[in-house]
Amino acid sequence: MKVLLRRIVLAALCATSVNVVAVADTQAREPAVAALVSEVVPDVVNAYNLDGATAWVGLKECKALATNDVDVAVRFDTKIDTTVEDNATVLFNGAVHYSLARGTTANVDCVAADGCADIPEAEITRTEKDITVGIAFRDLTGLVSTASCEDAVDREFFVRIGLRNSQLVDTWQIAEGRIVVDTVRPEPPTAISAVATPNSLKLEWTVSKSTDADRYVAVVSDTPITAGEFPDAENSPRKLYPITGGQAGKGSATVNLTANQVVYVAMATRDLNGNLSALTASQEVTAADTIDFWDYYQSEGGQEEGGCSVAGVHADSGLVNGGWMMFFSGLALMIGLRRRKQ
Amino acid sequence: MHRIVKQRSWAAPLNMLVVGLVALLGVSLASAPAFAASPTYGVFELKLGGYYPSIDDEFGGSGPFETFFGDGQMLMGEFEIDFYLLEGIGTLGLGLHAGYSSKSASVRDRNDMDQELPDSTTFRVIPLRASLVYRYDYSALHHSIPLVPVLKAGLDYHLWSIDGADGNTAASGGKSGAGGQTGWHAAVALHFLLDVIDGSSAAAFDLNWGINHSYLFAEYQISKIDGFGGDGFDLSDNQWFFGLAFEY
Repeated sequence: MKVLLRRIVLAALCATSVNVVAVADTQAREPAVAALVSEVVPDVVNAYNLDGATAWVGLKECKALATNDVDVAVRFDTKIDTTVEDNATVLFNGAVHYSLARGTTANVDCVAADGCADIPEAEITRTEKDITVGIAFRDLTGLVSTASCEDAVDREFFVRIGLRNSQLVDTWQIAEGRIVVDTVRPEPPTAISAVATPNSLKLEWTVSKSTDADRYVAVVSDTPITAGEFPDAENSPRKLYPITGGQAGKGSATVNLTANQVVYVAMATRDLNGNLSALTASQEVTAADTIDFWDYYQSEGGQEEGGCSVAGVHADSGLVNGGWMMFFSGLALMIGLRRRKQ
Repeated sequence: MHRIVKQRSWAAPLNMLVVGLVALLGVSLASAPAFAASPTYGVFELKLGGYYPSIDDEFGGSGPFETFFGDGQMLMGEFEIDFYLLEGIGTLGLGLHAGYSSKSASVRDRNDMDQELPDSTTFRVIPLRASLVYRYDYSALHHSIPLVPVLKAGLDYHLWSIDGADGNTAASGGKSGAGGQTGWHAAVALHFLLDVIDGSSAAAFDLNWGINHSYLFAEYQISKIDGFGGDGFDLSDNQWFFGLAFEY
């Protein structure tokens, strides 16, 4: 017990000396929550998804952020005004960043071996109501190019601040924002089969083995598609058709084909961060020549010709139909007049 | 002992209150029929029934409609509003009806009619009717027989349309899959006066909403919608309807 207490005190002293928050035992996978912070808002341009204190970045967003050297930021809305501190009472204890592999549950207390790095004071903006911590995406993640994003990154990057209430100076609270970078492509589906009409594709497949598979897309081509091609590759000519339904291995997509047109259909998986799998090998499909009820009725020699009719006489113009409408309107008018008289 | 005395001290007024309330309720129930009813102008009805058009009759009974939509009935909903023209021993009124029914099925492969494809085709019909309506409600209102026979007959115009595989109105050989068909109908119905179940609620319904009487009914309707023997879709059917009617 004494050893444990000593370690906590040492960690606190160490953290203070390097301007790092002193509170230990932070839950690694979920951002830490502080009572003095009402909301944490990541500001990541074109993030694939935002969920509370977490921004999700997929392969496409990673490439854009790394290539263009974009800054990301995390805004902490505070319940105290940290700008009023003086030398006697420090309310804000700086910001650090660190990263963890996805799924890691290790605690991070930002002592020397935890890989926490200070964020320069110049990158921090404090107002009466919030603290905004900015950092270049490249500095936060170490991802500096398209190629590095392609390298199946799957890490969680945390931005942490520490602050305390002037009445409780012994207790530092920490708050965190998180940017999850997941550029791991999911596994493609297998065993696809397709039926096509000029208007839609009906597809069946065996679902992806990836646990974060979210939905599926189809690619339609006039030429065969080789398995393994990435539909989101630079200069790819592939147009993606979203498939409705999907998780159960059945779905459909809206297309625009002509009857008897031969096309090649392949599929890809899209995961929860928007990453696309490689395409499956394509299936050759011929768009069926559909026949609907009206077409079939006509082909069978039905007498109905469409349009409006009165006493067996059909009229293509709306005049006859209009006559009936006038008849009903007249009846209604008559009734209305009768009631008004009463 | 003391507790018994204390109970008696409030039990007596409570008993009087209960007796009073029961008496008041009894008076109100007894007086419900004497309530000054609002004037009546007509009846409106909401009803549901099965419908299966006779389109395939021109093909000898089994044809394109059954091929696509099967032999199950469509659900038809209908609204009817009647206006009293004459009131005496029963009422004679003019009724206007509008309804809706539709059914969808998969389109087929032109080269293999057994092959059902992902797109669908939909048949819709909107029946419009005008009826003369006779309601014999004299016995229900004056002799406490809660049944009202109703007779209806009139002219029909049914709008219909068919959606093709692309979701738009179907077309074939330059002919649009939408139109209308004329015809006639006759119906007999039996209405059960719901007021007999709860007279006080019925009175309140009239007081608050102007609904004099409510009915539960069954109706059998013969409709001949074939352009009076002309060409085109035969949308005729003999139907059972069940619904609610409200006299206003």
